[in-house]
Amino acid sequence: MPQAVPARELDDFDSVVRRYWPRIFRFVFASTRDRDAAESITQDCLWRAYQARDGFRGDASLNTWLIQIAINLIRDLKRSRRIQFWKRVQATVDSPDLGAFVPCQSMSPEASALAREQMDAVWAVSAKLSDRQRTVFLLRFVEDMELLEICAATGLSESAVKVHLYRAVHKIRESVGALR
Amino acid sequence: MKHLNSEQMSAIVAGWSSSETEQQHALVCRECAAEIDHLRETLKLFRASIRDWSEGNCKSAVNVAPQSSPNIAPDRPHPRRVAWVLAAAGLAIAVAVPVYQDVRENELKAQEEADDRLIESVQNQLSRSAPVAMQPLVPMLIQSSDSNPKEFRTENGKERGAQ
Repeated sequence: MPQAVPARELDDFDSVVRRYWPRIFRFVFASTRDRDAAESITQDCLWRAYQARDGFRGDASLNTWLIQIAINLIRDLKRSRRIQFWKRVQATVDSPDLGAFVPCQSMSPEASALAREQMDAVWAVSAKLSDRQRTVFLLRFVEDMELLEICAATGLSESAVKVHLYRAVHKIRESVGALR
Repeated sequence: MKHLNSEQMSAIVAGWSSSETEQQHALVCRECAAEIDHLRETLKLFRASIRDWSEGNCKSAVNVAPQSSPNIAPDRPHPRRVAWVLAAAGLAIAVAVPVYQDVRENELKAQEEADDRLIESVQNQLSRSAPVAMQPLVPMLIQSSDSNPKEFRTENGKERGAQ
């Protein structure tokens, strides 16, 4: 897990971009399911971080700070008219087939098929979660962030983060359980 | 024996359960342990799949990153700004070129008209039967040429009366 980075280290922004671009992109991509939006938001996120680097006190890790910026940008995007357009487009276009990316080299064909089916189910459920539930879920189970980091990134209380995560996991458990 | 509920399982899977009783139950109860293991495996697979998937889609972005990162430097313009500047420049050119062409055409037309006027005036000068100073005498010359047309010649020596 990345440690708190002094603001001075933000001056070497090339290395910050190289290090954090994939993480931010992955989180935004999983949140929006839109590659173009993910690239745009990731770039915007890093640009804003660079602009605001003097205000970064290092209270949270750089990763948490960047995720916080990314969450705000995703929220802005979803509020904008543009996302309304994208919602209509996504309604007619199949979402990416996550099952195709299941690392199942060591699995039997049956287990591999089941794993793919489960991944598609989890992916489908995560699309139906509320924005906060999805954000907390992705931060915990994809980005491996700890409770306090998620609180710092989302601005939610500990109890609120827990409730959102429990509800998300409950829904996923229900969908995956049905496949067993 | 009372099994763990969904919230307790989620807390254990997330690693946020602080209750020793719940953790102990998860170890002892086969049913709950199997459920938790299955959930853990599913979420681990989900994480791996998302990471593989985003890495596949992020390749171009990561390749772009080292090139795009200098754009973040303060002395380099932001790509969006560059796009706006280019768009504004394109719009300015799109507007300016027709205006310039219009102005240029008007200038050429005016020049042509001025040239035409000049040529016409030269033609008038050349086509006069006598210099301006001798114009009052022209009627007399015409009368004279009518009686002897071949003797009437213009100021530049060309014969006019025969025409």
